[in-house]
Amino acid sequence: MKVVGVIYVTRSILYPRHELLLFEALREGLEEEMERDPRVCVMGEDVGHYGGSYKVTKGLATKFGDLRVLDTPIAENSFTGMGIGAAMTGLRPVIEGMNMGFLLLAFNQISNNCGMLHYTSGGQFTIPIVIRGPGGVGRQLGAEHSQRLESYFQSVPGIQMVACSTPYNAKGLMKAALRSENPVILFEHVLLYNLKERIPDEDYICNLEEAEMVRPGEHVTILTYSRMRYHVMQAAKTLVNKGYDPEVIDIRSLKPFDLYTIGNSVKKTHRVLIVEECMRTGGIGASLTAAITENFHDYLDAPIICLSSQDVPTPYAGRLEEWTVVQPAQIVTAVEQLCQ
Amino acid sequence: MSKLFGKITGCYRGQGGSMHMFSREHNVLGGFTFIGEGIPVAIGATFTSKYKREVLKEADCDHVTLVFFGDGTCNNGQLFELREVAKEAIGRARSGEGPTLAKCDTYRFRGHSLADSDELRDPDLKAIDKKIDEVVEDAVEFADESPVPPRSQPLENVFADPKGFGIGPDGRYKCEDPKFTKGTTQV
Repeated sequence: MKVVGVIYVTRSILYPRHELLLFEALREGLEEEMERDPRVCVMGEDVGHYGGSYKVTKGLATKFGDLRVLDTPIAENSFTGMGIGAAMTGLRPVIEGMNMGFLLLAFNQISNNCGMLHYTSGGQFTIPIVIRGPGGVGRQLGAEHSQRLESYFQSVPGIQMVACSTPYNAKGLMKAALRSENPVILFEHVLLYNLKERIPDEDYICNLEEAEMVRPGEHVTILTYSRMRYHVMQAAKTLVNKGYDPEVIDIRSLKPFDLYTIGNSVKKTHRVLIVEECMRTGGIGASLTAAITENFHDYLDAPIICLSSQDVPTPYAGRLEEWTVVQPAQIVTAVEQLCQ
Repeated sequence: MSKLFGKITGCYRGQGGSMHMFSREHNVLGGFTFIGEGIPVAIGATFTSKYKREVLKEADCDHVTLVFFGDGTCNNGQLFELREVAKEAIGRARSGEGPTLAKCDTYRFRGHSLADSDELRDPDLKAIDKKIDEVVEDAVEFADESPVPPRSQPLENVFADPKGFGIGPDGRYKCEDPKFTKGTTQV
C-alpha cells in the first residue's frame, strides 16, 4: 500500500495532468498555438463575441482581439476563400464551420482552391489552413444538420482529414493541424464535446497520419473513428463477456489511412470489421475496405464487414434517428458472425 | 508559352494550365478557373495586409490587392457576399470608405473561348496582328524546344508536406518510397 502511494505521488509530479472537457481541450490547443505563433487566427460565424456555437473559441476574442478571432457574415464560401487567401499570403487561419454541413457551401473553395493551389502554382504558394467544425448525427438536429462530410471531401486531392474522438487527441490533433504546412480538415462530433479526460500538462501533439490503438486484441480488428469509437467500446464490453478479444483501432486519420497500424492488425487477427457513422455508399468505410483488400488480401480469413449509417437523410424523430446509425448490438452481432 | 505546352520550363512544371497564372516572386496569387472564386482569395490577401499592420505591428506594410474579373463574374454570388465581408472585416477601422469597385470599360480582344466565334467584331487590325504573330512565334519555338516534365512531376506539389500521402503498409511514409520520387507509386 505504502509503495503504491509513493509511486502514485511520484507519477503525478513527473507527469502532471489536468482534467477538462473535449471542447475545452480544443480551445486549449488553439489558444496555445495562438500564443506560440501570432500568425494563427480564427474566422467563422459567431466565433468571436459569442465564443463559438460549441464554445470552442470562448474567451479568445477578448484575449487576442477581434481581428485574430473574426466574426464573419453568413457567407461560408466567401470566408473560406478569404481564409485561403490569408493562408497564401502568410497567415495560418482556422476556419470554423458552425456546423460541418454548412461547409458544403464552401465546397468550391475547399476543392478548387484549398486542395489545388499548391499544385497548380507549382509549389509556390502553401495553404496552411485548418478547417474544422462539429458534424455527425446529434440528437434530433434534423437531416441537414446531421451530415458527415468526410465522405464527400475524401476524394479532394491535396487535403488531409483527421477526426478527433477524445480530449487528448482533440488537443493533439488541433495543434498538429495548426503546425502542418498542408491544409487539414479536422472533424469534430456534436455529441463528443462534453467528454471528460485528464490530459498532460506539457506540450504534446498527435501525429496527423497515425491511427490510435484503443484496445489491443487477438480475434478481430475493429476499425472506427469519432463517435462510433464509443459504440464499439460499449460493444467490446459485451464481447469480452462472451469470450471474444477484439482489437479496436481508432483510425483518426481519415485521409490518408495509416496502413501500417491497420495492416499489422489485419496480419494478426485476419478478420476486419469497420464501424463508421457516414453513409454506406462512397463512405470512408468503402474506401478503407478497398484499401485493405488491395493491400492485405492474403491475410484475410473472412470478407470485410462494414457497418455504416443507412443511406438515408437523418430523420428528425429520435427513434428513427437511432435506427439509421450503427448501434452496439449490431457490432456484437457482426463480430460473432465474423468469428464463426 | 511553355506552361501552355505543358513543358517543365513552364511556370507550374506541367501541373497548371492556361488559367493558372501564379508567381510568388511577383506576388501574383493566381488565375482562378472558376473566376469568381478568386475574389474571396483576394479579400484574404487584403485581410493579411490589415492583420500585419494591426496584429503583427508591421507598420510599414502597405500592400494593396488588385483583383480582376469580367462582367460575367458580376453575376457570381461570392462577389456580393464579399462586399459585406470586406466592409465588416477589413473596413472596420477605416473612416467608412469601404472597398472600391472599379468598373473598367475596356477592349474585348476576342471571344470568350474557342467555342465563341466572335462574329460581332470589326476585323481591320491586320498590321498589329502580324507583329503580335512574330512575338508569339518566338515563344512557340522556345516552348517546342523545351523538355517535357519528368515522370515524377505529377506527384510533386500536391502537398507542401508530402507526409500528407500517409503511411504505407510497410510502416514507412509513402513519400520515402524510392518509387515515389520516380513517380511510379500509386497514391
